[in-house]
Amino acid sequence: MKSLRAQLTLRLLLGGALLLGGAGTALHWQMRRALTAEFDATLRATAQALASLTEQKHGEASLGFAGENMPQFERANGPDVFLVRTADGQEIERSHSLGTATLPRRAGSPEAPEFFDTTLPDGRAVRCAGLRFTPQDEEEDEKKIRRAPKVEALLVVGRDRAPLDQTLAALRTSLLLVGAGALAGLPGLVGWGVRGGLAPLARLGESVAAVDAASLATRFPAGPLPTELQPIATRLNELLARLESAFARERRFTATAAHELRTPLAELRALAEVNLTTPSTETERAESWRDALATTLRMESLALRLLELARAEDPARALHREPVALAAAFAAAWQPWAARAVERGITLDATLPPELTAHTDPALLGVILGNLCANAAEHAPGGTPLRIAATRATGTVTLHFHNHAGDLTGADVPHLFERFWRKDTARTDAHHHGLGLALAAEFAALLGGTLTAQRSADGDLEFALRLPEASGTPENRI
Amino acid sequence: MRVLFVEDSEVLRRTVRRALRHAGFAVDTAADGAEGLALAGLNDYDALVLDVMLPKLDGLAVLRRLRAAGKTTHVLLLTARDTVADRVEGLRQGADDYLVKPFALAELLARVGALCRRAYGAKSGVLRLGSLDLDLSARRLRRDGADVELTAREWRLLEYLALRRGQVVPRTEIEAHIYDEFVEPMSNVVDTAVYGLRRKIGAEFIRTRRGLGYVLEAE
Repeated sequence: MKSLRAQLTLRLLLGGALLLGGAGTALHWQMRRALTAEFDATLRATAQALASLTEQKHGEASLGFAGENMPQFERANGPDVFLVRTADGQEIERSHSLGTATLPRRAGSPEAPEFFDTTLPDGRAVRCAGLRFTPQDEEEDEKKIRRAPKVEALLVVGRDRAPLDQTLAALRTSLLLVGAGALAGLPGLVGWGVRGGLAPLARLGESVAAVDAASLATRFPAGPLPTELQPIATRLNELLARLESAFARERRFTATAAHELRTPLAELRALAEVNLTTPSTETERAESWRDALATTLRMESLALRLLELARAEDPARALHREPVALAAAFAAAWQPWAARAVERGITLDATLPPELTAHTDPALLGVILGNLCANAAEHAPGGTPLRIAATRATGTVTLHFHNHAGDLTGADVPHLFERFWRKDTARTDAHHHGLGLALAAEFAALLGGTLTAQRSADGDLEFALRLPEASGTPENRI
Repeated sequence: MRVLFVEDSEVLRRTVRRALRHAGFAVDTAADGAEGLALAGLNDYDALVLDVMLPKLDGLAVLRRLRAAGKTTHVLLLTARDTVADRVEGLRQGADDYLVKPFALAELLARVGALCRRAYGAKSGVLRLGSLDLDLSARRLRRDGADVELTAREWRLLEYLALRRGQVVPRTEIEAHIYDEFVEPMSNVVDTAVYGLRRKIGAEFIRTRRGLGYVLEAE
């Protein structure tokens, strides 16, 4: 399992180590450069001083060296050495500290001497500055000076670089010690930082883990959270709100379904008990069986409706879409309700063009239309008309069911598609569970359409069933 | 004892009525709240069994209106709603008892019997009247330890007079409490029932107060 904290810690440790290494190297390089430059500046000054003491007369060069002024050159194996030669290699002067050793013939100009490192035969590592120059003329007569031959000299001044190397080594040691200390402390520091930084995430994770079906009302306060976590908390809150609503809907549904089953169960139980405990006539026994049958049929009807609803919610339900003529589908759905409508004085006025087709599942459409027809035939006020019409828009066809709303108010309309909702809270009969319109709306959604209801100002209730139109439907006027 | 049963399920209405009658109650029924309210206002019932979910006027509304009209008839609410909140709401509205569907018929009968007895201040299910022992729950009469068989009408008459023992009960009141809507009492039906009852339990228990009614002697 990947751990965010472990990954962050590892990366920060690697990054920290690289940064420390890089910073140490850069510091060492810079210090080495600065110390060497300072060392070289001293060498250059010494070389320039020695060069200024070198003179020539009649083509002969000499160094007016006063050892008491520069005692470092006088000690055997002393730290500073020099060697002055003519350009052709003839030695002019050397320091006692150089002994018999010689120095490389490398030289720059008096302003920019050449610096280089070399090792003397006795093992001393020296850093040298070499410069080529023309010694000053001792002659004071300008004419003689112009006539005299000129000698060019080459001066190499060296200094034991052991102190420089020791300083640099000490610097390296210090840097390494500081780096090692920093590296040793880095894991703790990184761990502390990562823990602190991830603490809000950990707390959010713990809060999320604590949410279960019984605590869906939990909301995570986004305000105190870091900016990066606020969108997560917001989305989680939205998700929880949707879950809470869905759970509440399911609980209501389950409670209502159980409630709907209580009355028929009470009927069956009372029937059984009364027949077991009281003497009954033949007529009473026959009546009891009829009652038991009617109650069982009502429970069966309710169970079937619930099953249909469950199936409607199954996303894997296979749909068999085909072009379905709406006029024929409506006629088939109305047929079982026609007699009931006549009995209640409900007149049908259906004007549906026979060529109007929807691209839909005929079985599901049959259920939707059947429920709409049942609703009109059973619940529209007696003696009122039922008008069926159709409209077309781009790619869709809409069936309109108009009937008188009766005592249905505008406030009732949003409840029409709720499961088990009935205008009258009491039960009615075996066929009316308050599930028909809920089922029709579920099926309409499953078919890629919608089923909506509205109550017009003139007291009509209109259901609009919108479905995808079959592509082969000819253009015609409706 | 006369009971009104208000329930919109026809099956339940018929079945429970049959059971109540068999248990010796006079039973009127109503299929909706409005009819139930009208009957409860019209007659003097010993107990009301009221479904909560009723067409036209729900059971709680019926109960509220009855209490507002000063009716103190004991009411048993019968409902499919079983949450604590539902039960508390029913009792707050003035119900005396609450039974959730589905229910055991025996429990319903026992609760209705208890409510009827409470209407006359009797808490015990057994009344001792001299040599008579009335077991109101079991609907059994014993005289000197021997069982006495009574018809349902005779039992209702004896039970009512026993609960009102020592008081003169007018004929009209007896009629109202032992006959339901399905019986058309003749003018001498109470006298006939009293005559029949005296033959079975002895003439000394029920006295006639001419022009006033009957009284069952306490001792």
